[in-house]
Amino acid sequence: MEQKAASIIATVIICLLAAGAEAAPFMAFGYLANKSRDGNYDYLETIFPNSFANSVRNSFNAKVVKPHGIIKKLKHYDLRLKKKYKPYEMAEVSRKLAVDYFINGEFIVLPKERIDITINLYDGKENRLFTFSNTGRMEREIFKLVDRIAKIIVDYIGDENLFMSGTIPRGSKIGIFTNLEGDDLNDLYYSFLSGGYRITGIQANSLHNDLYTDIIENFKCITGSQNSFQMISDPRTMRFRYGTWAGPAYYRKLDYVKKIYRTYDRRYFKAESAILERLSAKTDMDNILVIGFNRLKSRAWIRCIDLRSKNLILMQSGISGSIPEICAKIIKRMSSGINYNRG
Amino acid sequence: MQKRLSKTVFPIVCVIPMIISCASRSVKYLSRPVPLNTGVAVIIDASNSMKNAVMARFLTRGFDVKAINASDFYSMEDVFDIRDFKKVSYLGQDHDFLSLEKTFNNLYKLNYYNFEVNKAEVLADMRNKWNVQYLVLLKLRPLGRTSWGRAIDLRTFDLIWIENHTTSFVDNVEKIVDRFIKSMTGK
Repeated sequence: MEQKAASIIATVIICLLAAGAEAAPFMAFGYLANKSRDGNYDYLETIFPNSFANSVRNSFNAKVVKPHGIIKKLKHYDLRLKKKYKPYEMAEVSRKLAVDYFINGEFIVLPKERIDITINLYDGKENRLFTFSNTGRMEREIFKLVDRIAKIIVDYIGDENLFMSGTIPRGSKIGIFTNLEGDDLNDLYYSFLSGGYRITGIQANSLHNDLYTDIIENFKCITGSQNSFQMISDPRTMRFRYGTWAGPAYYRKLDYVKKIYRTYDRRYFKAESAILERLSAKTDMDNILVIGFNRLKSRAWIRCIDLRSKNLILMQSGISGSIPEICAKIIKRMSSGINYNRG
Repeated sequence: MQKRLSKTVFPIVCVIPMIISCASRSVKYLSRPVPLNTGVAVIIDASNSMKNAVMARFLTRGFDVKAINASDFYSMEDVFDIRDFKKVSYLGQDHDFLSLEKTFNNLYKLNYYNFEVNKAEVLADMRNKWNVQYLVLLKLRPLGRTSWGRAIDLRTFDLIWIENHTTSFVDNVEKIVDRFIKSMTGK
């Protein structure tokens, strides 16, 4: 009897350990390329990723591999670790390393001993690229900056995919895109209006809403001036076939495909900035808040774009509750922000 | 007697929670009142007879009601320009359109932003050309469902009034509209 109990306990412990091991994300940290044109800072290309890896491992249950470890692993494939990767290349390297997240980036040293760091975080589970920038002081405050960036990474890989680069103070004028309509939409507006925000009459000016639950998912990916959460496209898979069999009509069609691809993929930020500028001028709003609800309206995700900087400033998923409860959580987050200097 | 009572009570007990579950919470917010005697466009999705009944209530209260229809606004179909896609649609056999997923995603977003810009331009025209100062949207719904209204100040484009009201046994079109007018004018 005792033997049976012991074996059950042992099985439970093994299962728990296995579950724990499976839950820990596996993260690879590549180089942070020096964009300063000053070779004196090259040593930071490896020191930064090593520091981020240590900081993330210390504050989150994550398995990490540093640049040195990546070099070793890539040797098996006869590949070398590059300083810069295209987004679709990051996805490939991530698959070869069998990691959940692949992180690299670049830094530039600014005047007055300041440094700007841009991080590219490839999320293998979502097949998305999350990019953000952070600026800090060299020398005395470099560890604070490292800690801050590690915390942003930890917040993102958490359950809520949280990111915030500043507060959205009460009194701001916000436009809301959501998949709610009618009385539910009024319910949502009520929460924000009584929470002290001004609401621009976009979407509110229609009786019906064209943003259905599956369509609003398009707004999950946001391209910003510095901070973005983007889908990854691979231009190599676009096969433009040419040959003597093709006539002028075929080439005209190909030109259309290329034009669409150029405008809405490669140069999308330019097109988006122009239209957001017009929208901002017409409606005088500060921010666009996108709130996507599931079909049961019991769970939501948000994205917020600052219309002045054209930047993604807030991102969060998995907010649960009723419509007023979800709104209350969003308002609390918007007005209080995240303290990345917390201990 | 007891059997008859249970027959009467049972449907009531079942129906009341069903009615309540269909209705969302009642909310009301007014940041600044819509003044009487001002130019308003009232948009309502209803039969012509009901529209007349609603407009009559607004006219009675002294509003300068402008004749605007919901169809005067653009619909998504009008601004969603798919001509380029028609031209390339039958190239799909030869091309891996999965690589265009990001393109389609971005195109839809840009189109939606553009849709909102177009609506804002139409509303600005309504204000400048026809002196419409406020846009009022109403949806009147049957017993137990939530009727709702909202008003937008076209000078600032601010949403200034919203109300959700669960239609009750004593309500009719005139009563609900009167209630909404009273609510948005703050009187």
